[in-house]
Amino acid sequence: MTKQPQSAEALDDVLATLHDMLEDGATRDDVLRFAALNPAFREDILAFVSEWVASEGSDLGDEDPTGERTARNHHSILERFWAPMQSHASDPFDAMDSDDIDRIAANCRIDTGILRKLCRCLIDVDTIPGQLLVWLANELRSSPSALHAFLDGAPAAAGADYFAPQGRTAPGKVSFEAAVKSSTLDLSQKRFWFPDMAA
Amino acid sequence: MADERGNSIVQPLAKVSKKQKVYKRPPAVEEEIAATLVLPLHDAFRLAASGHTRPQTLVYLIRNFRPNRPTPQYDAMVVAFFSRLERSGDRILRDLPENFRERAHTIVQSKALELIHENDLDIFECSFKLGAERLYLTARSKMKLRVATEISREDLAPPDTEVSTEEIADALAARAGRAGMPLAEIKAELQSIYALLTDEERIAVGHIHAMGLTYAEAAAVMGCSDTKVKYLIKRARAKARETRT
Repeated sequence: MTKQPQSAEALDDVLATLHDMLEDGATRDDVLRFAALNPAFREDILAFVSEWVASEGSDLGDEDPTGERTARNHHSILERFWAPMQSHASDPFDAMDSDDIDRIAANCRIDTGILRKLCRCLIDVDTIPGQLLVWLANELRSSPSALHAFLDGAPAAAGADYFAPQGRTAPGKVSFEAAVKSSTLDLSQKRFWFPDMAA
Repeated sequence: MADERGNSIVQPLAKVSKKQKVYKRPPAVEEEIAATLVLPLHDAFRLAASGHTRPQTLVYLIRNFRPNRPTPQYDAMVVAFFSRLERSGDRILRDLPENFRERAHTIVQSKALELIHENDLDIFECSFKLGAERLYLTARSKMKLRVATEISREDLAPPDTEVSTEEIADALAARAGRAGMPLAEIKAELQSIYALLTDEERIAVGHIHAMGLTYAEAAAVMGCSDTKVKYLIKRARAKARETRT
């Protein structure tokens, strides 16, 4: 029953498929056929089925609150969560055609000024509504996660900064609300994002 | 909620699924995610981390809005995910000794981290409960807890008193179902007597009555002798009979 390390993932995939089969109404014959198709994992399959049949399952439904409990070793979990992270987010705006800027901005209910700030990572990503990231990712044929990772990066300095007497400066980020407030959007468009925005 | 062209702003799960199975979020979850996306992300993160959204929404935010570096708001969501995962495993592990429960939680945490890094969390957006059950049942089955101590000789049924399949079927027939019956239905019927059985008895009943294995086959999977399997089934049969009288 000892498996090679490389087969551990294969076993997990087999058991995941088996679990789906069981939840979808598999009979014992279905399971035995499945075991015959995966002879290397036969005992693991049967062991999983017996655990599944014997289990009452979790008593925490999707609608139930978790409660106050915090996971054990959560500091260690966070360390492991971030350990493999490599910050090399590609620029999803690379593929944007300059002729499309007006259309993309309109489809995302922002103006080109806000879009320009986004291109340069000048807006604090945590203040942006998720739906704008989803719309913009769709327009850029990217994913919200890739776009979010890019926007979370360091702000781009303007070219003129290289020649400024005080040297290159790192611009700060503004909130999305401030960007909308200072934009050319009309009041109704601004209030789409912030219903309480003053005239 | 839809975009300018009427498309849902919540990405369908099939786009990122590695498996053949296509998962689908319940409509209520899709609606909740769409409503959450209206908020600035830091507010959405705070809501999800504090348990004010469904766990599927929490998973959606973790998958789709991962920053480049740790942030308190995002980390709070990650901790909330693992806290809920651990809580979901409580009942599944409750019959195990503490050291085995610890081991199972560790196995599940490692697997969950792997799934997060591979962005393979579709099942958790479909049903967090189902995803958690999968990880904990897999951990249990891998731990091979059935390689347990053999029972003492005096507790064993005499070698010549074979427990016939017919006898067992007589006691458990009402609950154990038949070949061709979905195992989920057999499982549901057996639940009524599971409270009376030990973990080993439940496992043995699963092998013999749900899967129709022979004693020798069940013994091989459980890592014990077939005599022990017969003994476990005999005890389960007796308990099942008690519930019928």
